[in-house]
Amino acid sequence: MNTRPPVVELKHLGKTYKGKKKNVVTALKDLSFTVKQGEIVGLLGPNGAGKTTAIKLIMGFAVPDKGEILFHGQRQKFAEPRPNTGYLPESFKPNPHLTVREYILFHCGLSGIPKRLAKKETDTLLGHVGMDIFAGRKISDLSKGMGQRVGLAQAFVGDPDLLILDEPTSGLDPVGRSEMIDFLIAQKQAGKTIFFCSHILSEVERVCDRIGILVKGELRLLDTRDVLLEKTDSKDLDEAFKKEVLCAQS
Amino acid sequence: MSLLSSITNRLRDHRMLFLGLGFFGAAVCLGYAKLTLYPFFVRPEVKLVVDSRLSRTMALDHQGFMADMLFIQVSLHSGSLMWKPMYIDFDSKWAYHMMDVITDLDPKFYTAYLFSAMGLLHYHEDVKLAAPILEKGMAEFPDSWELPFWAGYGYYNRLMDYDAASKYFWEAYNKPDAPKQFLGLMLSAMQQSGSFDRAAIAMKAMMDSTDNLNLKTIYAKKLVRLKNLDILMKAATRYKEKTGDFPKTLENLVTSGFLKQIPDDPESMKYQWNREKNLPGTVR
Amino acid sequence: MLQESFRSKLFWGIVLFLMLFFVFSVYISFLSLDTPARFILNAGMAGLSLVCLAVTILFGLFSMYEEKARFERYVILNRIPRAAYLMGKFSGTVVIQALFAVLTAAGIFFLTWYFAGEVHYGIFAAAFWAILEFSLLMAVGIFFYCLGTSFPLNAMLVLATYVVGHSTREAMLSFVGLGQFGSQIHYYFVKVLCVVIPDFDFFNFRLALIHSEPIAPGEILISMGYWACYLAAVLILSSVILKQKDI
Repeated sequence: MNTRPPVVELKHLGKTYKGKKKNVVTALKDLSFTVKQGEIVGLLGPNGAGKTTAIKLIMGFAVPDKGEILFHGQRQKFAEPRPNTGYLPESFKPNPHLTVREYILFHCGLSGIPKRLAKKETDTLLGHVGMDIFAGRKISDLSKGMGQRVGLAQAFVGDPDLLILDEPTSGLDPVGRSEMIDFLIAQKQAGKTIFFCSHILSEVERVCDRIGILVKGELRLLDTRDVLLEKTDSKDLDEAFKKEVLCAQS
Repeated sequence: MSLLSSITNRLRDHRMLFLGLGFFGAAVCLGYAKLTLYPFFVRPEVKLVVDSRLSRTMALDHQGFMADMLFIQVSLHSGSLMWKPMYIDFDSKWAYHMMDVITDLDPKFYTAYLFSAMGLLHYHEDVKLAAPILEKGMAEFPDSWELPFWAGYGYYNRLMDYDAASKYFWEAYNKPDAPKQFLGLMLSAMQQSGSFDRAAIAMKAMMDSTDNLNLKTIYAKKLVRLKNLDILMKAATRYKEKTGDFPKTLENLVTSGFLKQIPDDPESMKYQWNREKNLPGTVR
Repeated sequence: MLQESFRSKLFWGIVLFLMLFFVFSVYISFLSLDTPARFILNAGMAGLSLVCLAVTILFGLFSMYEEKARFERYVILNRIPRAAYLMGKFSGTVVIQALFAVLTAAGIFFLTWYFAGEVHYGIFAAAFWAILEFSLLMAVGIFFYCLGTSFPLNAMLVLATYVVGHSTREAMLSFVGLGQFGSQIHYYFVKVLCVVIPDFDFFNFRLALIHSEPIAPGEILISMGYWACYLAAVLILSSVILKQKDI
């Protein structure tokens, strides 16, 4: 029996935003789930479901109205950097004025990696994401997909155990998306824990150990693909997802 | 033919570029035509009247820079009258108001004070406008001889106010490092205003500053004359205090006991009382 | 931040502006009636202020908002605390301000020596005070950034702070009469405002430097103390505000 605490544990997280004219928007209602060591958990949801809010709460960029977040059983404070965690936000663009190498070196510096090790770490990371031949190129000269790879490389700086990725394949072409998914699978096999959000069902289906469906701030289901299909009485994930969304809306 | 066709092709390929350049050329030609057909005429410029406090606020703590910019405005207005048509006049009141603001912004702007007295004097009455600026400068630069000198010079040369002139010249003379070159001027002003005692001091200084024996002899005689005129002036002043008016002749001073005798002139000139100026003078 | 600045077209744009300002300084010195040195120095100091202001807004603040727009600040804040992020942006901007201030001072020093035949070391002291002044202004910009204002609004607020901060003495003088003969409330309101908003007159030694007048050590100490206290207060408050906010 695995007695190690989960890498990430969310307990009854809730978050509301105050809109204009005193409107209150509930982004998350009562979110609770865990991400265990070495697994890939994907969170599906339509636009506005609360996926990015969930990630922001996990990363400490927003303060929850209720609930708590634990990393390896340790309660996390709001607005503090997360230990040993790599993060890639949605629509992320790295600094266009730096070269690829300089950018990764910069993040090595932020992570406290000594200069004598940083160069080696940079070369290794860029090799992993296939950007080593473009190391000297300015980021502004890169394509969207290349920029996304650089973003992924920075998420790996410091060899984190946990990766949190928000829509990692957004803006990528089909080949780029496929390569990204292959990369994530390789990371899983290397023992990394990955939590990511997406609304592309095929990717989630392909790579995740467990899949969650988030609709209107509520976690409808979180389980393996097969259990999900069984519970929703669906042939495929697409059907399951649509059923849950419609159910939530009604 | 091939050259012609290549030119034509190039024109066709870059027709938008040439069209743009063509329009630009047309605009330039029109501009030149306007300058030729409708030449601009020089108008009196609109002069902004600023306030010290407002200028200081607008300067955002760059008072020196603001003072410089305003100074350029004034100096250009003054200097441009050399080439501007006659109907554009020098605006003394505005110019001196601006100098007041400039010296308020930067009280240590020495050139501004000098310029008020030298470069900006277009009309005789400007001397009275320059005087308060120079007084301000004299307070900021207590050791400067130039500022009181130029104040005095303005009164001497423009207004023939020898009283005021001699007061300023005297102040300038007493400053450290004041040159002796303007002693003659000072002397003249003091004589004309009746300050013979100070004129005598100036004359003595002139005598001491030269090594020329002939000049020394001349100055010595003039010094005696000035001392004599001073004696006569002091006696006439006592006479006026007693009787209410200056004497009609110098003999009145002797007969009324204010003077033992009229002193002898070292060059045998005769002394007489000038009723118009109320000063003693000499005649041959 | 220095590395990316050198590659930025804006950096070279400001350098070009500086060169043009040098030309302007020399040009107007020809109209100076035989005091070219002071004209070059005064214009140079005005240019120094403009350049530092441009660096504060267009480099310092703009880069922070750019990072926000690119979502890059999330990956940075994943590694370092928010206070460290603010300090990093602040320090980076001050380094660029210092670079431009020294460059401007060196240029003006050279121009004064070459065209006016005078040597004025005071321009470097003016650069020092300009760095203090604009570092404080950058801190104010960071404060507004932490409050969540947009970049255009922040830029306007920083400009307003700059203008008002240079006018506090005049404002106080203007309202003395109002307090004495009219409403005391207005007078005290203006007084409070003048104290709360940074008073950049603490760093204004320009005339003294132009005229090579000595500055009392006590005055220097008070000015530096004011700068240190106000800067610490603004940066600490900004850190506290940013730490409480959702980003």
